Amino acid sequence: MTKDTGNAVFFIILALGGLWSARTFNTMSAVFPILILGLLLLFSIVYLMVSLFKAGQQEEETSKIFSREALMTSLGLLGYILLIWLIGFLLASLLFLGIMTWYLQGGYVSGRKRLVNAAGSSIAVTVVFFLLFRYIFLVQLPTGFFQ
Amino acid sequence: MKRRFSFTVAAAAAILAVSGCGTGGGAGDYPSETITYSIPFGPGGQSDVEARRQEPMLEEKLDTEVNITYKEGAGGAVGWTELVSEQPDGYFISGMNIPHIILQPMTQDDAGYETEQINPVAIFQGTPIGLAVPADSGIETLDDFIEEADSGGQVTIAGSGTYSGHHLAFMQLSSLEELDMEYVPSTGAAESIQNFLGGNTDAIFANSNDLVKYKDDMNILAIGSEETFEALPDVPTFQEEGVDFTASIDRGVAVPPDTEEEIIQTLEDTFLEIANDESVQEEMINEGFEPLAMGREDTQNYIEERTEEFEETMRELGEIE
Amino acid sequence: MEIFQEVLSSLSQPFTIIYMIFGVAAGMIVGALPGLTATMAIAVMLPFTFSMPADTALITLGGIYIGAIFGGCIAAILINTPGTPSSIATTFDGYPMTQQGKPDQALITAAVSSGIGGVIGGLALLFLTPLLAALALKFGPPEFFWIALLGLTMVATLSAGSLLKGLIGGTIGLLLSTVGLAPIGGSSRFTFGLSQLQAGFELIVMLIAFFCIPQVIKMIKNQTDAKEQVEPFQSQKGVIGYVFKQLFIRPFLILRSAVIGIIVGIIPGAGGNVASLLSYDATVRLSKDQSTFGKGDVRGVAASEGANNAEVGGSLVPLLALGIPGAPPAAVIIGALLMQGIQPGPNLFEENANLIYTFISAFILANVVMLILAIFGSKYIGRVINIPTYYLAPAIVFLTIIGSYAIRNNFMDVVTLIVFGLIGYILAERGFRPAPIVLGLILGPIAEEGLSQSILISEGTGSLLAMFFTRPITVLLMILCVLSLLSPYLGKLLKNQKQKEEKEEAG
Repeated sequence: MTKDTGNAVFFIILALGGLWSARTFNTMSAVFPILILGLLLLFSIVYLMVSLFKAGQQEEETSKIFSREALMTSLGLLGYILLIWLIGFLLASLLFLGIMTWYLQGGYVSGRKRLVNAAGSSIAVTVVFFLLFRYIFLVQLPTGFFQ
Repeated sequence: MKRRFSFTVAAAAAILAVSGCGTGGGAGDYPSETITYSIPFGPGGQSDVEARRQEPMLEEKLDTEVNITYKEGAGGAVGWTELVSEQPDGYFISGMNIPHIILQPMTQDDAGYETEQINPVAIFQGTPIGLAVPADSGIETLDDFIEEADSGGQVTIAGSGTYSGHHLAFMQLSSLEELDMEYVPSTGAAESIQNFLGGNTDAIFANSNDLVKYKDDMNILAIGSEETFEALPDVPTFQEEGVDFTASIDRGVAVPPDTEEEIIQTLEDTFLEIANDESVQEEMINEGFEPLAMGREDTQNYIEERTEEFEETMRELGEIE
Repeated sequence: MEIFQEVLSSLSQPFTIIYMIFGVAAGMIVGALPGLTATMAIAVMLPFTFSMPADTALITLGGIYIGAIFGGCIAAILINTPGTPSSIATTFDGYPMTQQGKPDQALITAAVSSGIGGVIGGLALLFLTPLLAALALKFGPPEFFWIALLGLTMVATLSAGSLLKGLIGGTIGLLLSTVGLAPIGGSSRFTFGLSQLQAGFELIVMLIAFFCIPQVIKMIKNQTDAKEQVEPFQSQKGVIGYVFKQLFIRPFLILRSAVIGIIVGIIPGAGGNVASLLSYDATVRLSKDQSTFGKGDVRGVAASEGANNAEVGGSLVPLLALGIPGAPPAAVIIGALLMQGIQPGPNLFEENANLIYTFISAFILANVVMLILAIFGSKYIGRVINIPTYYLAPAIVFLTIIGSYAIRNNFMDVVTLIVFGLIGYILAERGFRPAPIVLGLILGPIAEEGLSQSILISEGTGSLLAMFFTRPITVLLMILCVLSLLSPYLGKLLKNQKQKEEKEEAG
């Protein structure tokens, strides 16, 4: 199965699932979503046919979506929101910025400088914008699960 | 949850120790910190304008800072969902709108809060809802309108929101007079005015301030206040015209459930004092609102009465089971 | 003439001018930060204007509005992330210019076209308000539906590569826009019982999710890849002259963009994002040489930015003439007027003529201030791309998180940002570009409200089709939709015809 076929099957399932859950909406709430889901179903079926038809002709490139860096960054992002929820915005941001900057310097900067850069950038960016938002824009940033 | 509780206790103890003050954080010296005044709508809306009007007076009378924040979404439901889960220490108060807080939990299973969880402090402003037709329509009275609506062609009425104050007024008028009309909701009051002024609908349910603003462009047939509305003295009420219902959007303020009575009392006194201020009342009348000053008990009774009334109408029309 | 003197005396007060410059500059900074919009910039500054006299307050807020709409292009050009929804179309050609090491050229193009577009919008506001206000009322539900469809035909322009993938992306965007409480029916849709989802997805959060997060991941992934490096920026001389020349040999480009911006602006409910997208699309379709669009074409940046700043003037038309805001930031300005004790409504012009004319004149002046600030700033702002990825990428993530939280003070929005950011990354890698998805998200609510209201109204009057065909503007929009769909084929047809003729002449 090619990637395109996989995509198409996923969208067909999405459209069918959407149509199934749209059955409970009242008339005026259902008109638009059903129209959209119908279109999605139609396009996805055409996409499926095209991908099946093309499948024999094309060589697949090997997937590079999840290179090591991309995977690390994705995990970093998910970790960041978990940290915000647990320990609040300020601490989580200091940690995230520090660790990310440290990690990304690999191969460019090394030794003590790498650590200093990471700490310096994380403290400077976090503190400046935290103060700006907290006291000028009056945004109450999340303080974390433990308050 | 247990962990969170013990942590809170520990933190509270620490704060007490640091502040070196036995009653710190208790109701006795409330308020001693900044109060967050949450508006469940966007900036620049009427709820915001009211809060901004109150802000300097609140700060002066309570002798503390008041921060206005916005928590917009789902017609206010997002803000009220947050309100009912906040700490009941009096430092988080929120704007509250009737009928929104009654109708949302009534019509949505996943509204996120229940009407009983909204802990009212006071109501300070009423916005009666009126029915109007274009100035050149030839319809002059509510009777003319009812006749027109009964005579075959389906009448369309613009309004703001589904299961909102306007929608309810529409349902009450339809059910009391047994009319078959079409309600055309918009996502906001400005959009429905635009729809009506552009000639897309035959009539409109609009808030009193909009009626005052556009009174030259429309014939206002009746208004949903209990007595003659001060800013529009020539307009009869629905009850005077023989249709027995009132329709109004009322703004007030509420605190999280289980807040100490003492704290609520302080807030109630302050908000009522502002609501009774003559210059505030005068400004509201000029802008097309009805100044109100309903305390906690009156507000609670009012919400109960309204809830029963709405339930009956909605059940009659088959909108809820 | 009395009014003229009054206006002049208000404008010659040094404090007013200082506040205006401050407002424009503050707006530019806020607008440049992803997640902070013009609406929010105005809301944040609102309390500071209470103590000011009415004219100064309005002028400051107007300056912020103009500055913020322009500021959105800075992030769009430098990091491929629209700072405000109005600059989505600016990313299409602005970021490729940055990749070629010419961010200053893109920024100055944006500044000049924004400035000119803004001034045209201001002049329209000054002279055509009563006329345009009458036009605004001609837009009812059927027109909203068809203008949204016209916008959706842009998918063809936006889906580089595969039209089919563009169409699927567009429907996914439309589908995402239906999450939450239905605007007309009132049912809660696709919320899976989560009350947090009732409010639906916030457009700005989704915008950052689909544009910015994938961009950051790509940036980090490509850090080590020599082929994918962005050219370093060095400021060069003569850029300003070059840009002016490019724009003045195409006078219709900005004029057309400004007219589209003004018309979209006066339609309540459609904002700068729709204006810049429609203008970009029109420019691509009407250009003879379309091959360079999306690869760093000056015309693309000018079309988008000229339209979105002209839209500001347009959006103030229904506000000043009818008391109806033409766009969300204009709604906040209504709040500011109310707090100053002024009732916006049909009589605003008559009752507060001095104030309104002062405001409009200052508005035009503020566009010039913005142009000057932006031209001087572009040399320094462009250096942002020279910051190493290891500082820049984490800082961008941090800013997007803080910004997406600040929009509605809602943690759910932060979760949405990251989850859809990762989904957006996977989709982009599989060939589903973010632009059609976001297009669906923007136009979905407009299309749905228009369609549902049309259906309800037509139940009173007869049939839906009869309603569509009896309204002149609807008919015009329908014709434009059909032309837009056929334009690639028409273009080919004309080309063939021409070649044939040439052959015949030669033969």
